[in-house]
Amino acid sequence: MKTLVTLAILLTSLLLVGGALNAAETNSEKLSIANELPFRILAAQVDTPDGSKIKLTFSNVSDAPVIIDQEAFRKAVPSILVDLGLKDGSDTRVSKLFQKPIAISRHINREQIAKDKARAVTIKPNGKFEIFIPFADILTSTKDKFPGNTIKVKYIVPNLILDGKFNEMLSDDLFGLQLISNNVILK
Amino acid sequence: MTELAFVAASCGYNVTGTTLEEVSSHFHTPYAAEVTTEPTGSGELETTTLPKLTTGECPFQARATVKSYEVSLNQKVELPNWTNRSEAPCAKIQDEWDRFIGCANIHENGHISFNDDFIANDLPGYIARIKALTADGSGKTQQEADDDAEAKLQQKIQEIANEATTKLQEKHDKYDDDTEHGATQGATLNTNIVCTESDPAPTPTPSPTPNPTP
Repeated sequence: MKTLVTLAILLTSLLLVGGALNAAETNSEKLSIANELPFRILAAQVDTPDGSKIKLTFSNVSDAPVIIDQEAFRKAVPSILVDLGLKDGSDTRVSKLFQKPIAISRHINREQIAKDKARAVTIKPNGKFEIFIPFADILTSTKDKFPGNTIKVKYIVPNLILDGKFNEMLSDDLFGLQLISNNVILK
Repeated sequence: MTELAFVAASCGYNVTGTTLEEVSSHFHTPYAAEVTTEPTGSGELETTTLPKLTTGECPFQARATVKSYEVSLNQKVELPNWTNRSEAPCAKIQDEWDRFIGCANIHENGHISFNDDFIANDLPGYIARIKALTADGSGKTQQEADDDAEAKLQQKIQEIANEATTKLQEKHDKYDDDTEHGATQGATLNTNIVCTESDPAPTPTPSPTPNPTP
């Protein structure tokens, strides 16, 4: 039960940070919330020679190394909100939502992943880890289907943390965390 | 509106070799066969302006509701396909491969049956819960209040979606624990089999195509 409560508090806190980081572009004071947390994830759209991609950045703002599973970044799932505008003759805004919950597949435990040197990456305190995700089909088709509409995307990264020391968190909590990025407004 | 859709696909991958040990070296790791289920949810939200408060830092108010929601499940079945089975040195090796693939199919079909059961019995309840959700937001402007309400509703939906996937994942994990990932059903390839001069010649027919029941 303690584990569940801790997880719930962390997820709630993380959501607050997502909002805070977004607002930080215009109001840096809100960044203070992030200082209470050991890590953050930022998502941004970037143009590369291979086309437009989403860049996910994991920042370790704790004072201890963190080991992450870089494969988890590649499995990041998008939550997309398309603004369809106001309903005729009303002040009600209509939005289309697309979500890809976490895929269900054969379970691989933390120990198995940690042994895979290609997946387990250590991030030093204040260090960052970036990964570029090609636009998933769902993003591309959404952009094609709703040209001109504002499209916001959040990314959820499941099972990212393999090891680390974060305040009073139990190590078993870390692997199950689902981290949510800030919003990216697709160009 | 259809609230559930289901797409099944068999995605075999090719392996080659003339001995079972060589063939098994090309297996995907950590498991040779796998069923992956990828859910996608979609729906329509409405965000309505609520009366503005007369005090406070964030007087603008909004309420977001779910107007519709549907789920599609994309199921992928991945099994190895021995492309040069006909080049095996003897029939005994082919027989062991065929036995292994047959047992792997049985194990993976077990995973598929959990998905079928989940779609029939559990998923409608989760969708009903999502369609009943609302979330209120506030902000210094109406846009901020709308965004706040939408983000909170989005998160509530995601939490139920994750609850659903966790429940299904637990069923699959228990099945794998009970069957030792198919080992108790015979889905382990015996790579120690070797051919002797007295063994019958290999058959030219190809390996049975993996064909799990969707």
